[in-house]
Amino acid sequence: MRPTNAMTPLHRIVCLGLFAGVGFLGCEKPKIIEVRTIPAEPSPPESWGLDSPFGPEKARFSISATNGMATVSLTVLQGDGGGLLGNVNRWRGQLGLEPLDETNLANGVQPVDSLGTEARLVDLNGTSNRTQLDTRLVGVIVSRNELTWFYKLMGTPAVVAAEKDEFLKYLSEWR
Amino acid sequence: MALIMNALKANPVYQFFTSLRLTVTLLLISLVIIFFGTLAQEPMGLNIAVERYFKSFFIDAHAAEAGWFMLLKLFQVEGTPLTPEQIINPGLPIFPGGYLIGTLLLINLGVAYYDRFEWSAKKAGIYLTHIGIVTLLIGQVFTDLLQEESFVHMERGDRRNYTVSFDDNELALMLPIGASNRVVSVPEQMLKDKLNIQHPDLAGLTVETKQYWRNARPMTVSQLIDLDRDEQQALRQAKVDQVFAVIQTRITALEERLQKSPHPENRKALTTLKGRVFQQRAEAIELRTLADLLGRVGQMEMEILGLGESDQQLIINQKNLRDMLVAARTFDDQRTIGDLFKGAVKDNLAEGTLEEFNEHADNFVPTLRNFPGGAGDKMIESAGKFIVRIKHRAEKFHTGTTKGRLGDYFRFVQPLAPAFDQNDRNQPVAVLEISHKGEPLGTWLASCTSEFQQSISVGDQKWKLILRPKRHYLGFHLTLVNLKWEKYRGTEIPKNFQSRVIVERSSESRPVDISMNEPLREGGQTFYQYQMNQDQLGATVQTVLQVVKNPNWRTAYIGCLIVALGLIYQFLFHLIGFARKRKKVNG
Repeated sequence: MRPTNAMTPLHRIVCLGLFAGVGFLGCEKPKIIEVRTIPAEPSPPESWGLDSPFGPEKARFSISATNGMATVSLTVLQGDGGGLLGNVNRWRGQLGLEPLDETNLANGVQPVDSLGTEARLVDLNGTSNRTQLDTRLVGVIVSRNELTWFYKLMGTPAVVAAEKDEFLKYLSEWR
Repeated sequence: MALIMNALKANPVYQFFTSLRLTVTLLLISLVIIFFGTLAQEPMGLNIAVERYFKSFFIDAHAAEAGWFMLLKLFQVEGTPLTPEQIINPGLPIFPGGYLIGTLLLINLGVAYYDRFEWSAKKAGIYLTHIGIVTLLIGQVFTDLLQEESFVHMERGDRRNYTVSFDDNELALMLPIGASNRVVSVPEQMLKDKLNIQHPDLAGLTVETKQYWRNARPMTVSQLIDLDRDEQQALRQAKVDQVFAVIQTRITALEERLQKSPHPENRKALTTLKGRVFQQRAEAIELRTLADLLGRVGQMEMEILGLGESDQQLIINQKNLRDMLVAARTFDDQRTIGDLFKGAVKDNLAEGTLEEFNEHADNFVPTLRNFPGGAGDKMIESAGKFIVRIKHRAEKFHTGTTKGRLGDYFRFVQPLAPAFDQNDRNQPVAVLEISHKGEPLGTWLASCTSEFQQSISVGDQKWKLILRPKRHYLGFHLTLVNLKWEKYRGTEIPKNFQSRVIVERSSESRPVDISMNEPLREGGQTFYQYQMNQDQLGATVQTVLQVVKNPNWRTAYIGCLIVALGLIYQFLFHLIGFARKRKKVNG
């Protein structure tokens, strides 16, 4: 037969008090400083100023120097984004240059070792259709993972020449 | 042993925990908690309500009040809504919370089993079922403790190796070491508590929070002036709305009169006037146009009601209405003066201390006098009021930071009401005093509204500082290559959200399609398709994946499996027994 001693109110209070204590211990949010080591995030050269992306661009930087200006932009498109030939000719058209055809396309583009076998670079000089000024365009097209990345450095020839190495160095990390 | 057992069974505490009455009471209390906890989600927001009702041992007075307020609202009884401070800060504990009830239920179940347990094949299924329930209960506690929920949002071509917390923020101090970054992540709570932040990995840096806002907006000087302008505009609009309300009342009275005594010409004129009032109300109305409208209403009153020009009842003779218009004009003037001030000092506003700002403000009135054509006494008087107000506002919101590009740009911080809605996120801001080995380096502004990383130079070391949503780093990269938002034909109802990502590890790279019922499981985490966002042209441009990391995820499956086994066993045991009995009877 089960004993029938009833629990006194004091016993009940002691029981609940015990749980209250445990509860308050668990209520405080942890304040722990965490330390992690992560791969360094790419940061653009200090001379590049962050600018608002234009149209389908993902990112845009502007470079102002005493001898001129240039812009750096990144655009990502689905698939081949219009193809290598089409895009190289589009850029050539912006500088008033004659379009290339399939046969002489290979002579107009160069590989970029740091970006893998799919990357192609064009380096063009001409007169900008928009500003009618002498302009140089260094463009890189990379097709990878069902997407095509377009990187473009364009502006005053002297500024583009000064920034080209930094541009190519940053591309390998900039995605 | 038997003696000890008898003594134990005679113990009232033991009896208390073995009683079935306790089980029923606890289940009833849990019903109450679930009911009020669900109601409280509206004023408190989902996360706070869940924390304070279900994930705590006791429900505090403020949380309980939120539930009670909503209950009264259900019965259309007016109650006092909670203030944001009450929602954020728990009150005194007044009622058992979810964890306490769960723990007591668990103890009750365990002790009751200990008391009544007997080895019997007949009851093995029931025992197994209860063990499954205990597994689920304990598993839920561990899930609450260990589970991390976060999200990752990506546009086509984005590559991420981290996810972002829904609610938590961190002050990240980063030091480049070779090709890596050492990130010291300080939880926002430490900034809120204004603790002195030190850590061996901070190499002697100490961060002290001078000011902290849970939700705030950093402002430039220009935005500070705009804020004043917007407030004057809102005050003006309130007065204009009051005038429109009076006009509306008068037009209704005129319509009623015309219903009693029809007059086609007046009816037509009144309809035209009503249309004009409706149109003007939707626009940012000029005060002179508003005065013209009042004049026309007055004319209609004279026509329809037969009032005289000097009649006190006439709308244009109402003193309170004239006062409203004068007040609206005053707010209008203040707004104009704000624009003039901004124009006059715009070249000097980009940077500067509070003293410099005050100097510009003090010089404004003399400048105003020298404006082409000069300024009248009334305008000078209005400008004086503006200057007093803008200086007071500047002093109130000025941060006084001495270092960092963010603080140079945003000199002021406007506190905002905390956000509680699940879809809103608080944007904390802090003013931090940083020192190195006891030597002060300056004060920096840190804000979750900006992704800009500020620099702290200490000798050769260049630390980066940013306050941002807490990041959880993955052991791999995700690149979004395509996204789909399919709708049922002819409707806007989503049929399928799908994101195609490339999972990149150093050893392999593979494409994966994540859709609504097909999450990606990678690295102990599950990536669910959560949201799709469109740009202004309606193109789908951004995907949001919800990421759940739950090291305890197996417990729920194990618990369910045990419950199922118990039920199957119990069913089969009875079925076989029944079949045997029947066979015996038939035989």
